[in-house]
Amino acid sequence: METRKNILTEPIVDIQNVCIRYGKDPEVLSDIKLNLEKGSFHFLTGKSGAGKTSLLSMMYLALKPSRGTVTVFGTNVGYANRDVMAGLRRRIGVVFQDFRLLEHLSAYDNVAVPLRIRGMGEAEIKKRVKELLSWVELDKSMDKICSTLSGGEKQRVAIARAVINRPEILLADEPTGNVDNDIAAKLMKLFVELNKLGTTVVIATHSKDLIAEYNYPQIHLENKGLKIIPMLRRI
Amino acid sequence: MKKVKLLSSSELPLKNDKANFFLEISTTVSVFLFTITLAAYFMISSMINSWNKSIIDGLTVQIMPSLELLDQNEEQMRINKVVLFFEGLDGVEKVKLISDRQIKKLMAPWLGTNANIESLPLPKLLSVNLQNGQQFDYQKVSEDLKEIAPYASIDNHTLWLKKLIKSASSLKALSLFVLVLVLSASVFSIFYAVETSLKVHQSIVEILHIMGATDSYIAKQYATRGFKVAFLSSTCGMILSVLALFMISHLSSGLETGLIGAASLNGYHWCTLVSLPIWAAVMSMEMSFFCVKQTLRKMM
Repeated sequence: METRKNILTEPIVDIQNVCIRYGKDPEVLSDIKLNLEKGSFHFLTGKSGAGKTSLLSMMYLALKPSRGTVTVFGTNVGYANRDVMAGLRRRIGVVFQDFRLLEHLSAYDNVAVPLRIRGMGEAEIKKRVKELLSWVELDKSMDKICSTLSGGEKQRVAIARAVINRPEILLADEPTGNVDNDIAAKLMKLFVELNKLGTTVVIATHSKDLIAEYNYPQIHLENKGLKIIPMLRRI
Repeated sequence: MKKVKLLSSSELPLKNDKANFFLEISTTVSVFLFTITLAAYFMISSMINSWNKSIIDGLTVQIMPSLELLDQNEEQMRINKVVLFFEGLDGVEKVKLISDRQIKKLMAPWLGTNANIESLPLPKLLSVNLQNGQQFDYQKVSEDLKEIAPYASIDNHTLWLKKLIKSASSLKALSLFVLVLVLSASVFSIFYAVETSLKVHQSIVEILHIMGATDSYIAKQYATRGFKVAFLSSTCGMILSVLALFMISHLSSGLETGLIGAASLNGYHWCTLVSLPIWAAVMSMEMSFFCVKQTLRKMM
């Protein structure tokens, strides 16, 4: 049986000497290095504009670095073709700060999209989606069109969509920003449980309370660079 | 609890896409023009075939009426002399006297249907059928015929039919050119509609990509839309064009002559015309698929 110690030794995201810039603007991130091990849990912190969203975009393979190499699941994405990239993305779950739901579809259909992309049968999709939507307390709103849902409901749909595929990496941008404390705690519990099952989790947040409560290492972005802040030692 | 809708037709909201209306109109018009032009192409082809066949297969012999008053037996002997002459030639398959009723029908466009042609000094006509692929020396046969029956002459229609065939072949080439133009316009329309739609739905396409959708997955949704829209619109275009063909056929029936009568559509032609919506739908589906893949490569 695979032990947690063994899980943590395998690199899943390897970023080497990467710079990110948009057009001719100055670099957002400069010469950063990051190695995420399989099954790790990190908070991504930094001031607004520090490059958190850019770093996440690069990790979910929507943004190519201006310079440097990014290796995900052992594949150098600079040399991967479009179909290989699609295969890598299917192993990553993403929660966007602005949700980015498909507004014309129901909550159910939104959560079902990753499974349909994988080509799963409708019976299995129905089982999984209903179960997860019940868990995030959206079982009564699952056939509502997303444009009619509240901010908190949309956030839960976005999270359910990100985790329905049981991703190997979960990247979340302020996932608890729009929900009340109880739901936030429940969602964090979900992330922790997924992490225990081997999912590598990176959560971008401004919430000092959240960081203090869960006490995971931080990837802190500052002055275009990156530093790892280890877990605080609890007294 | 309400029943959850289990099958989503498409993640992309293509059903209410504004590009659909453009695609529907352009496909209807394209298929209408394509069907009419293809029908014209088929008719010209069958006309040319029929003329070619008549050049190869036979010739017509005119037996001029005698200037003297002859009884029926003498008249028949004059005809028999010519018939025997042709029956004796190598390569002649059949010699047939064209009846007065047929001549009356042939003359109807000029003389009307009530004309009493028996009272007119019209020539008798012989239809001579040749064996397949038989080379015929018209010059020599004409000279031999003149010796035994100076009142008979061969109506060699090869020359003027060849001129007609040449003109019709030009028309055929023109109709092919029009078909290629219509096809090109349709391909352009599909390309334009797909590109516009992809720009409109770019944010959704991005999300689908991030969730791991391949270009083919997205292209399939456009291909399905392309098939449905093209099938319905091209069926409308085909029905309109068939109605137009019937109308043209009805209007031209009064003008029909022996030559134009050869311009007809057979069962194979009608099957091809009626099956055009299926071909158009398949083409639209394939083109949409291809265009999406190409455009996505450029866009993202």
